[in-house]
This record gives sequence, structure tokens and C-alpha cells, in this order.
Amino acid sequence: MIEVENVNKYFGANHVLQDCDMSVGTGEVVTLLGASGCGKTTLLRCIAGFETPSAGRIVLAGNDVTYEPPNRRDVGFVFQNYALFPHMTVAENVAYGLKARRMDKAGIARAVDEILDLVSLTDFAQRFPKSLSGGQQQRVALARSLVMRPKVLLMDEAFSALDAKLRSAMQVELRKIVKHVGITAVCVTHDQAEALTISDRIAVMNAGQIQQFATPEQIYDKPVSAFVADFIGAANILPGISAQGFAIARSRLNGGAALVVRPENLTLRAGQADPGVEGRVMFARLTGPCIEYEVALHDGTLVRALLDRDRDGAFSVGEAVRVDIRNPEACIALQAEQEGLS
Amino acid sequence: MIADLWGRIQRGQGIWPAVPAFVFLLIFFVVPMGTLLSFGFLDIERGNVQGAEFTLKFLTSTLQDNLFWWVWWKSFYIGVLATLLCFLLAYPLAYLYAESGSTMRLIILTLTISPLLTSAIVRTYAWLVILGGRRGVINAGLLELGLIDRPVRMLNTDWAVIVGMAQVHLPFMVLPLMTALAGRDRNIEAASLGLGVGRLATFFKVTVPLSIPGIVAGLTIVFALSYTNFIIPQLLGGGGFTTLAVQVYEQIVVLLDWSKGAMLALLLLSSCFVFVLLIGVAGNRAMRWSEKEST
Repeated sequence: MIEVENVNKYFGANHVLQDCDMSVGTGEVVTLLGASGCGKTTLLRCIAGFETPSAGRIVLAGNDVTYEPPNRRDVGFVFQNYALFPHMTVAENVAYGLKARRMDKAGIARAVDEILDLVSLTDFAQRFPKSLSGGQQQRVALARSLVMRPKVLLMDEAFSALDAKLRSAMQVELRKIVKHVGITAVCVTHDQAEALTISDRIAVMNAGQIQQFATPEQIYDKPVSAFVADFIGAANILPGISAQGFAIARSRLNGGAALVVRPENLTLRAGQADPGVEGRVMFARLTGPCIEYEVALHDGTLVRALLDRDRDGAFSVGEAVRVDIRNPEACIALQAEQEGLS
Repeated sequence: MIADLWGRIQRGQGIWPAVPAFVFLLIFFVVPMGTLLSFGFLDIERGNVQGAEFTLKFLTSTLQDNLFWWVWWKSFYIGVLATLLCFLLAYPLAYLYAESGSTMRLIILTLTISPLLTSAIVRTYAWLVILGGRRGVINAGLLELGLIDRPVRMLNTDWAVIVGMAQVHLPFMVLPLMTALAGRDRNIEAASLGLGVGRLATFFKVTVPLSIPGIVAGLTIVFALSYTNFIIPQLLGGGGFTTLAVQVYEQIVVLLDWSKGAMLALLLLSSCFVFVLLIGVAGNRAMRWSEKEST
């Protein structure tokens, strides 16, 4: 449905998008994930038509739209601040684009009712945006885009203005609505939890490049670089020399430069007995059902270990412990060129 | 607003910062103004205010005078046309400002404000040079080009006054419009474009409605200034040209009829107040969406 082919974008001397390639299938929900300034919003705006790539092609549903204006692309765009028309009621906001299409009045009324029902805003049809909560405003913005039945829905940081609790509820809600409608969607976010919740596939971006484009599971289990490993979930990136200390993982390292070990894949045992590596608990942080320990290995490398309070017991700060890896299969070796940013 | 203020006073909260300005205005504006306006209800014999008696005869005679209504109508329609012309000139300028980069903005802002550095009288005299007789800039140019063979009468017409007012008051229209347009959220226009609405339609359906606060402020200020201005009609309108403001000036300064002048001033002031209020009410109705509804 969406083909991003070798897209490059310069702002002056700034090379903000470098050889971006991405192919999104019909009905798929894809997230562009990265820190601010990584180029994710620029890529989204290129797909929407608010920016034109310096080189490369954007193909939507088989049509090359690289140089088409936004209104000729059949895309819906939900802005970070929603950009609702403040001088129109919810119903007028939703009907706005349909009126421009010269749809008949009865048809507009029916379409508006239907979509407001879908986003559960029927009771708010005659309100102005200012009197709505952030979550309601977001649903209006979503409805305003969806009612046009675009081929593609684009969302720019659409959840960042909501408070934490509402945000995760809205993410679940959004995924349900989008899947119900069956629309192809591309979202931009810097929030990894959001990306994991709403996406079929995630494109992790860094410094203008797509580092990895894969399903959430693949990204979590098989990150291709230290950057990706660190960005999605928490990760200990052990330099080869430290990783050698873990007898169980030596074969996994297999000559690599570093080993990625998730905090939940580390265990701590009291005492000095083998197997494992000597360490000392430096800091403990309660995160609800789990405790996250910061442990200094004997060579000084700091690692984080996430332990279940009931299953693994508790350790106190300063305690000498043995650190070991639970499941060597879940560790990922990185070659020297992949280590990148660590 | 009044309820807010009353609440603050009851809670013993800060109305004190406003007290110096309030006292100053009371002594040097409200009291003299009230005194002058009260002359409209006093029968003043030979300039002797002391012992003058209260009377309504100036009010009734003025309201029954057809000439007064004719002059009022002239003031009103000159004020309205000058305000509208000013708005039509100012909006594109303010829009250009809002769309420009910082250097261009500085240039436009400086050029907009610079006329305020000279007196309005000087600027009005400049119009005499431009519009006046055979040797006025426009007529001389048109004659030279052979487009006309006799000078066209421009000075001493309604349009001379209207154009002069629009020019002199332009900064007061442009500044609030600049603020409203420069501070707007461009994503809202992008959203409109994205929904398939063209640039021109987006301008009228989104940009203009969202600049209503600036429009209301500009219209209010410029109408009040144009409706009550007496220098421009006198200089550009010629001897026979009269508006309410000119009448006030003539009655008080030339004819020394303080009572008649004060009554005209009172009617001018109060009607101006009514029109400003009407513009405000219309603006509020158009801005209903900005009020917070109870949730």
C-alpha cells in the first residue's frame, strides 16, 4: 500500500533522511520509532505530502505521489496537537472534508453519525473542541480523518498530549478502531511502549536512517544493533571481554564484539559459588512486582537485572552476589560494526 | 468581569495596583469630561457657568434638528467606509507579515509603525499635496500623461476624507491583525488542505474566522478614531464639509456656544460607545466557540 523507496531529504546542509526504504502492506499498522530529531516526523510528512523528498519516491496504492500535494494523496493526517477547527462543532469538524467533496446533506449526516458512533462521541456532536478533554479531542481528530475513508491514516505523536493512564487506554482503543476499519496506518512516536502496543511492525529510526523494520517481537528478541536493543526495552550491552566471563554464553558470543542481555534474563544468587560472575549490588529500585538491581561486575561493568520479588527473593545494596544469564538463547551477539552507539 | 472584580475586592485582593491610574484618570479625565458634558444640560448666559439652570432644551432641540441627523449620518457613513477601506488594506498586509521571515517582518513592522512618528496633521497635509488642485501629484501626473484634459476634483470630496482616514488609521488596524495572524496554528490550515479543501477556501473558512479577535480589535479602534476625528474632515473635506466632530469643534471654539457643543459632544461620545459595543457583541457572537462550555 505504501512504498517508501530510497527517500532522502536535506534541510540545507542537514541530511535528515538517508536512503529510507520501507514497504507497508494493506491494513498494516506501522510505527516510526526514534528519539526526537531522528527524522521520523519528516518521513511521515513526506508520506503525507507536507514535505517533498530531495530524492527517492513515495508510492501510495501503486501511484507515484512523490510530488503530489496532500489533498491529492487520499491520506488522513492526525496532528500532534490534533489541529481541530476550534470554530466548528465536533459534527462540523467531521463533516468539513465531506462538504468539500460536495456530498449530499443526508449522506454527510449519515457518515458523521456513523463515525462518531465508532469513536463513542455521539453525545458530543454539538460541542466545540475547546470544551472537550484531550482524549475526546484526539478521537474527533481521528474521526475527522477516518470519515474521509482515506487509503492511509498517518498519525504524528498523536498520544503525546495525553496523560499516562489515558494514553495507554487510547492506544488500545486506537488499535481496535484502526483494525476494525481495516485501514493502513503509519504512526510516529518516541514512546516504545506505544510502538509495541499499536504496531504490527516497527521501524526504529536513528540519525535519519531506518535501523530495523520488523515486528515488535523480532525487534525485541533480535535487535540488529546496540541502538535498537537499547531503544526497545532495557538492555545490557556487555562488551565481549565481560561477556566471556559468563561460561554459559560464550558460545553465543561467537567472536562478536558485544552481547545484548535483557535485564529480565539475568539472575542473582547470594554467595561466591560458580557458575556466574562475581558482582556487587549497587542500587535497588522497586518497580511494582519486580525489583531492578544495578550490579557492578568484578571488572567494573554495570549491569541491570530485573528480578521477580516472590520468585527470586531480595538482595540488599552492597551485598556480594553471583550474576548469571538465565537463557543464553535469548542473548544476541553484535558484531563490531553493529555496536555503534554503545 | 464585574463579578470577578467584586470578588477580588471582597477577598481583599489586589485592586491596589490599579488605584494610581484610577485616581489619575478620575481627576484629569472623568471629572473634566463630566463637567464639559454637563454643560449640555445647563443654560449658560454669556459664558457664566455659575448659577446656570438645568435644562433639557439643548437635548430636545438637537434631536429635533434635521441638520443634526444629516450630520450624524455623514459622520457615520464616513466612519464606516473609512474603517472598511482600512480593513481591506490592512488584512493583506498583516497576512504578508505573518507569512514572512524575521527580517521581512521587521521591515513591515517598522514601515507600519513609522507613520505614527509624525503627527496626524502633518500626514493629512501630505494628502493636500497629493490630491490638491491642478498641481496635486495625481492630477499633475494624469494631465502630463494626457489621460485627462482637466483636473479631476479630488480634494474636498467624501472620498478624500475616507481615503485620508483609512491611511492615517492604518497602523491601528494592521497591528492587532498582525498579532492575530502571526500567532495562529498553521497545522489547522494544513489539516484543512489535507481534507481536500483548496487554499483559497481554507483562507476564508479557517484563517479568517480564526483571526476574528484581531478583526474585532482593529474595527473597534479604527471606527472609534474615524467617527470622532475632526482634523481630517476639516482639511480634506473643505469648508462646507461637516461631521459631528467638526460641529463640536465649531460650536465650542468658533461660536462659543458651549451648551450646544457639549450636547453634540455627548451625543457623539455616547453613539460612538454604542457602535463600539455593537461591534464587540457581534464579535462575541462570532466567537462563541472560544467560550468554555460546562462539561
